[in-house]
Amino acid sequence: MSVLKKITPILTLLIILWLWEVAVHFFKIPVLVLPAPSDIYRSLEQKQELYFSFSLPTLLEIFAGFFLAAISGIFLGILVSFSALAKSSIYPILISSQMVPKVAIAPVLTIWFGSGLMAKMFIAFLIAFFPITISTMVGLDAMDPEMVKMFRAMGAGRYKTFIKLRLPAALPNIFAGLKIGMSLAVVGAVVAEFVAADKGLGYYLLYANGQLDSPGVFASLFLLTVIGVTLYYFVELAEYYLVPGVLHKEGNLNNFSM
Amino acid sequence: MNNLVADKNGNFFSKAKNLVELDKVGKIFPARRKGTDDVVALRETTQSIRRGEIVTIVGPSGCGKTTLLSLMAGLEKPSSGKVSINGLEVSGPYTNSGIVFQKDLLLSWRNVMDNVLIQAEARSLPPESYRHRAQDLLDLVGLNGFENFYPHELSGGMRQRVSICRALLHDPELVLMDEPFAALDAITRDQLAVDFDKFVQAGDRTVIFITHNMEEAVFLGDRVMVMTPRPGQIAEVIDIDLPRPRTLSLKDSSEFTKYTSKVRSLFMEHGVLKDHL
Repeated sequence: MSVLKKITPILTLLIILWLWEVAVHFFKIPVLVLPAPSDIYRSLEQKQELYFSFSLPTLLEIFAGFFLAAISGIFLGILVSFSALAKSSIYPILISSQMVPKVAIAPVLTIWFGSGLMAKMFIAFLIAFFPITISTMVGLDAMDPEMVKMFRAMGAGRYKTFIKLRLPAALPNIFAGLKIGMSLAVVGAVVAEFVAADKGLGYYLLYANGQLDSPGVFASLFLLTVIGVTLYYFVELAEYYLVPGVLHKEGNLNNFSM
Repeated sequence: MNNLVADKNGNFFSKAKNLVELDKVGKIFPARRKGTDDVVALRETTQSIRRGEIVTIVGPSGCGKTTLLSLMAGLEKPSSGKVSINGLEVSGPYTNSGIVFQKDLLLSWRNVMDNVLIQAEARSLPPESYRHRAQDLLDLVGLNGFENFYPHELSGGMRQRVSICRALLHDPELVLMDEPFAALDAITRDQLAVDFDKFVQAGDRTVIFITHNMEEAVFLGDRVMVMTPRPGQIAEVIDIDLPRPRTLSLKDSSEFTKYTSKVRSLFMEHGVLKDHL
């Protein structure tokens, strides 16, 4: 039963791919409109080296942007949750800054940081860090006041209460934020490459689109998905080792979107 | 000051008969919104708690029981008067106490043993050197073999037993209990009440136990403080002259019911309870 459960998603995917392949041939859909999985595979195989060398910069942008977002998001979340001053000064700016469409300021950032790694990393960071900050803050604030009272009665100071109570209790929320941030970092990096780039999967996707190379577009999409899913599972792996089993919670991707 | 003696750690403490002294202690909460009056949670109260006795405080919700307990634990500051423990005025959280709340407040990510040891960790005491004592306490409350269980795997009664062990780990001289059995079913509550003497080592430890259950107050207490609301005050203190350890059959005895009806009649006198005839 558990084996069946594990292979179910793979099996489902294979069935969908097969139906896709069959449908494209049966309805004689032009490659330009919808390439069959076999066309996409051929494209991946023929331009192996190109895809590989274009995957690396994108991977790096996503990872660096996410890493920066994780560090600063958790730090800001802790700061805002702990200091009333930070809450009244930084928090409103934080909220309103999120109302600025980040995709729209990508060109500006390109002017500031050039078309290299820096700009793309920064855009990925900007999109990813907000949910991480918010969920860290929510996790830390959602503390039962009686628990805090008990720690006070036990003579624990703020630091001790943070380490022994607040942080472990907030970990599931923090990781939920990290998972959402991870998937948003992919969006950020691709958008940044759309605006200005000479390499990367987002750049190639746009280029292939211009060349009417639909299999290339889909191959890029496929690789972006693989990168996103892989990084997402790395976050989940970290959660598995860092968050005590009884606290595991599913990150809800539906709560956040661009 | 002549009744101060030094303990083995060189800390001075009082050997006076009274452990806790309330000297005209009152608590007023400022009005929450315009047009309403300040709330007198506790009218100025002068009482003392003797060393080694079990005092139960009984009253309806909103009578200031929990406020009184928070004042004694140093978790809240009195608006007037002062609380002293061992002859010293309480000005911050009084940490030589163990507190048991109505909610067990166990940490869901720690197993039973580690939940008890949090008491040592919070006090920056080496948890390893308390492991033995924690085990003894868990054995005492009948949780031998459950050390590695997580809170969600235990029943409500077992969880509250763990929280009692946590409160006792550092062998505090004063134990404060805020309706610890109120969330449990009546049968579990009876069992914990019978085991209570054994758990807290009645006679050696000073316990202040808050409840809204009149039977429970009489059953557990050496003295019962009856509290009435608006404003919160101690209406009367009743000495309970019943043998310890208390047994369940005691509840059927005429002496026991004499005490419970005394408490009930006090509540009726103060209009907390009314018959509609």
